[in-house]
Amino acid sequence: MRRSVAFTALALSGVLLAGCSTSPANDAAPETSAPTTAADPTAIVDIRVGLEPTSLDVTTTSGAGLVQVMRGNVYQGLVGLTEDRTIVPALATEWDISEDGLTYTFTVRDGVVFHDGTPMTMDDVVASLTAASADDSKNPDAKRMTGVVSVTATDDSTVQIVLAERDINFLETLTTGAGYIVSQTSTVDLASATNGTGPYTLGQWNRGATLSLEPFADYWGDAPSNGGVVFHYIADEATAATALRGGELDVLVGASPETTELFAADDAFQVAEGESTSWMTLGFNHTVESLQDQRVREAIRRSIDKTELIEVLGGQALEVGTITVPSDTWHVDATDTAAFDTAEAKKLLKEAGYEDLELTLTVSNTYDTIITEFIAAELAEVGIDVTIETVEFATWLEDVFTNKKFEMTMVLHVDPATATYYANPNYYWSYDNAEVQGLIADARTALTEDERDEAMRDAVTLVAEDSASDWLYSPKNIIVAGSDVAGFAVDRNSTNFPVSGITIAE
Amino acid sequence: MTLTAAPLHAGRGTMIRAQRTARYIAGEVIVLITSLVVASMAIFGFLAVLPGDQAAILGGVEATPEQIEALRQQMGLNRPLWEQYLDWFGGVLTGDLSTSALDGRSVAAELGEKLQVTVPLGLLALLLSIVIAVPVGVLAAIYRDSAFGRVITALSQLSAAIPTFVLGLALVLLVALPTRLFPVQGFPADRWADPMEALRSLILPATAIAIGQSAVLVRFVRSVTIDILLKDWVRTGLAQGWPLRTVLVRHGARNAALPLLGIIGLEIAGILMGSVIVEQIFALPGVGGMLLSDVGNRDITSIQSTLFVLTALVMITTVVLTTLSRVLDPRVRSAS
Repeated sequence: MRRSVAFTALALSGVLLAGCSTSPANDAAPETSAPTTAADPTAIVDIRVGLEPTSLDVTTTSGAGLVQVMRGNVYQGLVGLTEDRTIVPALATEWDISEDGLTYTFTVRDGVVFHDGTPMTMDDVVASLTAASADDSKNPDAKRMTGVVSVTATDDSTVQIVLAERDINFLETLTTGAGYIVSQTSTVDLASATNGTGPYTLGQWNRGATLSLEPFADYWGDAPSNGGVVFHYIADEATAATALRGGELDVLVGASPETTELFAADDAFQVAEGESTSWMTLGFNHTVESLQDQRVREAIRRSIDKTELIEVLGGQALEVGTITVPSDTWHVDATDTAAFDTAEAKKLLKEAGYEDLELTLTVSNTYDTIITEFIAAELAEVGIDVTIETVEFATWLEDVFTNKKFEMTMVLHVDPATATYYANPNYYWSYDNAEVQGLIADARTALTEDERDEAMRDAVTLVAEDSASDWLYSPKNIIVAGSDVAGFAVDRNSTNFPVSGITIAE
Repeated sequence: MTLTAAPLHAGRGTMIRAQRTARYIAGEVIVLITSLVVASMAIFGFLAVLPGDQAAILGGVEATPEQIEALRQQMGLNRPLWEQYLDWFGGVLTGDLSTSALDGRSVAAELGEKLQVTVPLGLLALLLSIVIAVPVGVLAAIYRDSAFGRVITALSQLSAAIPTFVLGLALVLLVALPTRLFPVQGFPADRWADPMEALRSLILPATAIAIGQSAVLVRFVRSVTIDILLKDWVRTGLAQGWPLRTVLVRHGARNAALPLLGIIGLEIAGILMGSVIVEQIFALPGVGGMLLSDVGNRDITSIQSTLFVLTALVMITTVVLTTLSRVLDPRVRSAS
């Protein structure tokens, strides 16, 4: 069970992207990964994904597993997000942002029907957004809505949202769980049933095994290109690979290098490599005395040969020197801020007076032990004695994340907004740097995207130079699918996986 | 008088025997109830000391300590342990297995759904292991002194040593993929709506469990059969010219069946454990998978109730089987 991904992704997935497009594109239309031949519109697409939701209630539940299934497929917000992270119209046809960046005015689409058959009203829109931004909101993305001052319907088809301060990421926020429009009159138990406005309704949730989506006949937009989708939650990778070979699955999301190798040479299958927004992060506890010293942190970073680590893991990962990936508009290549250099590492440790350092690395058992053993072996070379403490993810969450009882830890952060957490001194690393905090705040309230990206680049560079954490690698997103499958999202699909464009050839 | 004395005497004998049996059953029931209460305390206690907090998991990585504390309050996690225990166990006694803290679903409903996969899987595995073990064990006994017998014994020991997950994967690769007769993974979403389809999904997983379990049974059947073969009445029967098959089937089987009942009781626990692994390999939505994911999610109420129901199932079956063999077999009765 790769639980960690779920919880780090969470619905907090705040992304620093915005911009307003008013092109009349379909909501979150996915890129086509292969040319579409005569597709069978009734074909059911069987997809293996890693994580199962714990509950279906998008207004209270977090987790990548839920976001992956629901976002844009079952529930929608006023705006949607495409695979290349463009904001597109969804339940709003167009919008206008005031000069000062504080007032957002949306024209709400006509003729939208909830899955239970009731028409969507302005009341639903206002009440959903008001509830999500309320102080006592249980919405997992509520934190991103704290700047909302008011939500009002100015007429029968217009809603106005006023913010306390400029937030260039606000439109992006509306594409998350905090922005979903849910029915206010419905009595459906959202934990086990759904009632959205998206192209699919919930078919059957066979807990522990599958969750199926069926096309919604009264959908306001284009009908899905398939006859439905079944998400399979198969924990065992070997079972999933065999099921793909046996024709029981069409798409395998997040395949391991070993699995990929099995299918790479077979014409009946295709292997697609997409971008992820995830970083295997070696986190330092900044309240630990030795780790408060920048020289010690830099020494640790310089001791670990990332190129070799990636090779050991099968090669399907990127080397990153900070918490950005090339597809981020604010990407910086910071790999040289602490390049592999054991001599330099030893020198730094000596300067800092920590020639014989003992550190504990607390890590969740969801990750391959090769990684932690590799780190321990590398650090031993420079005289740092690492004790690996493997715990269950639930324990990790309590000890490390909540109670901050750790020295070093390792976790896969899958949220594009993770960069902004370096501005939060209460986050589990306890990293407290006023300059970074200022830059991240500037980014959020920036007037233009360029200005935001500039501030973000400065912030992540500073974080890298300060060796606030170490970033071991960014895994690529690998999808293996039958060669007759097309139209699936390959990039960042653990938190944004529109399925209505997926087709299977006849 | 002498005419009535016999039936009177016989009647008193039956009555005394019935009383003894009733007393025996009552004793067993008292032991069973005490064991179940102790088991409930053990389950609750072990889970209470398990690290990892349900509220923290629900809160996720973005929740503040205040929010998590509020969740704890809301879920009643900050009440004294004994109060939480009484609350839970009191509910269980009245048939309320409580609800999952994660999604508010009834644990009983969920367990009912999962048992629809695990119980047939277990029964099928049990049936298959008996079907395999009885003839193989008998053959191993009959030919115990020959090379053939030794090969059987060695093979059964080998299959007991192969881990279930290896057997499962081997079955997938050697049977499911080439023949396409059985699905590689999964179970019909509509459960038993199409019984043939459901059964098809269970055959390979059940076989994987059965191979390991039957190995244990083979050794048992072998030794019971050897015991019987050495009995005087078997020798007498054979000397009178009865074929070995007749002796074994007509008389031996009856004598072997009762101790077999007891062993089957023990097998149930093994089959349950095997099903946890097999359900993972074949991606079956059964109790094993449910327990695993509940542990990961720290859905303590669900784990507690599920473990208790499973424990009760195993204990009750064992008691029923031993009581049955006692009531049915006068030797066991007099021995106790």
